[in-house]
Amino acid sequence: MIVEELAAAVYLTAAFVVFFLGLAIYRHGPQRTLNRVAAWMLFFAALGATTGGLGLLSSPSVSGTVLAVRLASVWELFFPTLLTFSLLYPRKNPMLEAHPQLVLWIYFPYAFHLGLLLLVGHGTQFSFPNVSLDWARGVLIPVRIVWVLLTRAVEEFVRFHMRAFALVDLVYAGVALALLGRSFQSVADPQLSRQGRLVVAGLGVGVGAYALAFLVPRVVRVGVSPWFANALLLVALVFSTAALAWAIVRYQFLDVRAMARRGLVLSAASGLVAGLYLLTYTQVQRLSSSLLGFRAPVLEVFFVLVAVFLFQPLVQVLESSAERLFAREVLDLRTAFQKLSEDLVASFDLQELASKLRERLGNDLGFSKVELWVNEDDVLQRVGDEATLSDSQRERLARLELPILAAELNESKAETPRGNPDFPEEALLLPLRRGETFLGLLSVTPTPGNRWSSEELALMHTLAGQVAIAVENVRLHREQLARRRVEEELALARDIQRELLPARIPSSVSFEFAALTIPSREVGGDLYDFVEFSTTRIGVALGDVSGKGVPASLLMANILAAFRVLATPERSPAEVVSALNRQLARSTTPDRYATFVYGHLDADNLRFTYCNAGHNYPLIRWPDGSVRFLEHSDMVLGVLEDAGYSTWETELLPGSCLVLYTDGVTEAFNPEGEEYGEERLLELVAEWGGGSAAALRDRILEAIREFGAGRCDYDDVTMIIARVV
Amino acid sequence: MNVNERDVDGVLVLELSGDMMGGPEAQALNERLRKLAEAGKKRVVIDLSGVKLINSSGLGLLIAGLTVVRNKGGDLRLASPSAKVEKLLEVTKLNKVFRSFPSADEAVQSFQTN
Repeated sequence: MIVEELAAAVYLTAAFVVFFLGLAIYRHGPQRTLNRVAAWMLFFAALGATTGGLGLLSSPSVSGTVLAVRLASVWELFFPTLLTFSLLYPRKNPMLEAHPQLVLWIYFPYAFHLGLLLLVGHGTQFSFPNVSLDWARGVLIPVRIVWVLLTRAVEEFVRFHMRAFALVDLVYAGVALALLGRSFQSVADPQLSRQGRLVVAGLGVGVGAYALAFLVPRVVRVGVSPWFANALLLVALVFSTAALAWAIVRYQFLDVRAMARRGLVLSAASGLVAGLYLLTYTQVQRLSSSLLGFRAPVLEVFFVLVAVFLFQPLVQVLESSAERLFAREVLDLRTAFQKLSEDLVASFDLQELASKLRERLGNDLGFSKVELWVNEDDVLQRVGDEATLSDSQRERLARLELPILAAELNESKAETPRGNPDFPEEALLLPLRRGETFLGLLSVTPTPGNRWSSEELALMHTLAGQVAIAVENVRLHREQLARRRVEEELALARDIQRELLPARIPSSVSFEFAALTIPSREVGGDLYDFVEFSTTRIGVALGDVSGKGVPASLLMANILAAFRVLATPERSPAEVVSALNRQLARSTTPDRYATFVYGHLDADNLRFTYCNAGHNYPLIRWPDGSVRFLEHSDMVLGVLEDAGYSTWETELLPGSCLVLYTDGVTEAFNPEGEEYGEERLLELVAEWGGGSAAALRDRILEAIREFGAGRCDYDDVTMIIARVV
Repeated sequence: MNVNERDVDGVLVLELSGDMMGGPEAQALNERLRKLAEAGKKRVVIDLSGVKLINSSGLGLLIAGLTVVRNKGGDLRLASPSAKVEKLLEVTKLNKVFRSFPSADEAVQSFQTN
């Protein structure tokens, strides 16, 4: 008795595992006919093993409901499915290609067989209803004879059919195995060949043993001891299951691989627990009933609980031993990926990143070629040797959202030369993206003969996400360094520009000066200068170059240099400005211009003679407190080469104050968006009670800062204040 | 700064609004003007009625536009400048370079009469 239960446990375990393998195959390619057929084949095999196991457990007298017994034969659909599988694997048979309806004919005998079984069962006796009325007996005799003959014929046919149908099973299995065997003779791919041989061997041993144990005896009517038949089938079942599992895990049968491992472990554990449970439970039940004289339902609950508690540790033990079994495999992606992500986080250099990827994916995982391509300034460049791709290829790759095989990429556009040495056909191209940005490409080529499994594809996709983050980190790091360098250079430029401006304010017995410039950025476009012709005659210049920042500062330096050459005592302000304009108009585009004001302060004649090239009108304050703008200006510098400039003149008095300023003063904005404006400046200077030039300068600066609520950094601010002593 | 483009009797009217303080959109406008001028759109009116603030970069943009269009034998005229813009054009004497009109219609009209 215990032997039968043990055997049943093995049957059930095998059924579990085979069923799971079928599920794994189905899950990995539900859209592929081959996967669907293989899955159904395994489901039917699992059903067969289950039927066998349950058949061993139930005593022959108690055989369940009639319908259940009849349905048990459904598993025989395994045979036509096996034949269909042999027509599809490893590749579709040309015969099937030519006659797709062949599949229907393959299943037809089994449809008939199952229909018959459902209708009449294995060997039903038909009996004529007993009729008690005497008169009717005579009438019914011929009917009865016909009935008996008919039923006998049907019974004979069913008996014959049952025996003969075993032959059909045998023929189907034989043809299928022969087809499979022949297909694999011509397979060149070593991986596929090994995988196929294993699958054929597994199926062959299983089917062969079943044929020997059940089919052949039924056909030739030889009695075989059930013990021998079961033992044979058990060994075959274990071997077949193991062969199929190994083909999947080791050789990626139908692309299913490591993902199946955990499922295998789970189903094997479930089978073992179920078997153990049945084994111990029935024994204890038997013992208890013989000892106590009744069946104790509490024991059943107890054993279910034990089984539940046992399940988890058993799974762990099986899993760790499975890990040990497979850990030696080079392609243990998960572990390597874990190490890789740690490496990626710490990379600040593209070369380093590329070499780490090569090391982990190439050396540890055995991929034959690993390349990192980076998209920079619209050029896709290989890290390491700076090889580049054509623009059209780059654009196509930049549009990729998901990993793609190089072969598919080549197919998608005929213009790409086939066999591009950069990407072998079997290389997987993983686009590296962060949002909308295409950062680059990771290309990974497997060793020859290896195909990509769907699990590997999913993991590589995840890896691409991590590599994209790493590439972006490297870029941000580099940008930060570049920004720091620019900042340092700008600081240097600011120092140089400051040195360009007058080192000291002239001191004269006749005039008192104050000047100031505050660039809104590191470097600005404002300029001012003093020219000391004599102690009583001093030139002042102030200008503002259009635009801001470095371009403005270069033009400012240019104007200042030209001005220093041009400003001689004998040249009138208009002559100097005119010459300056010509130079600037010739050397720059018209949109680069400057406003400029230049004048001579003459203490002997108490005159200010000046020329204004489009600059803000200078402001003058007389000792009596009256103020006015000097409203004469000509064209800005640099727009029209032949623009005319004239010199204007205004009277000065001791105590008079001249204010030259740039628009940073009048165009200071308050938080409400209001402009400081010329009126406010005019009022401020009018109300100013007098004092040193420096004091007025500071007063104006304070006023605009106050007005702008501390924010007057919008434009460069520059002033020259000249007071007649 | 926003730009609204329309065509009135074969004259390209660009309505600018917001602040004309330089920046990338100024660069874009310049590029657009160059393309249009090359395509034969040489009569341009810049409607400044919506412009609140203008600085030297904004003026530079107008000068650049004018240069582009004039090099192709066309002209760029200004319409409805604010008092502040008018003052700026007066101070810089750029009013000698730009023809300016109180309204876009008048600016468009000016192209028809000569």
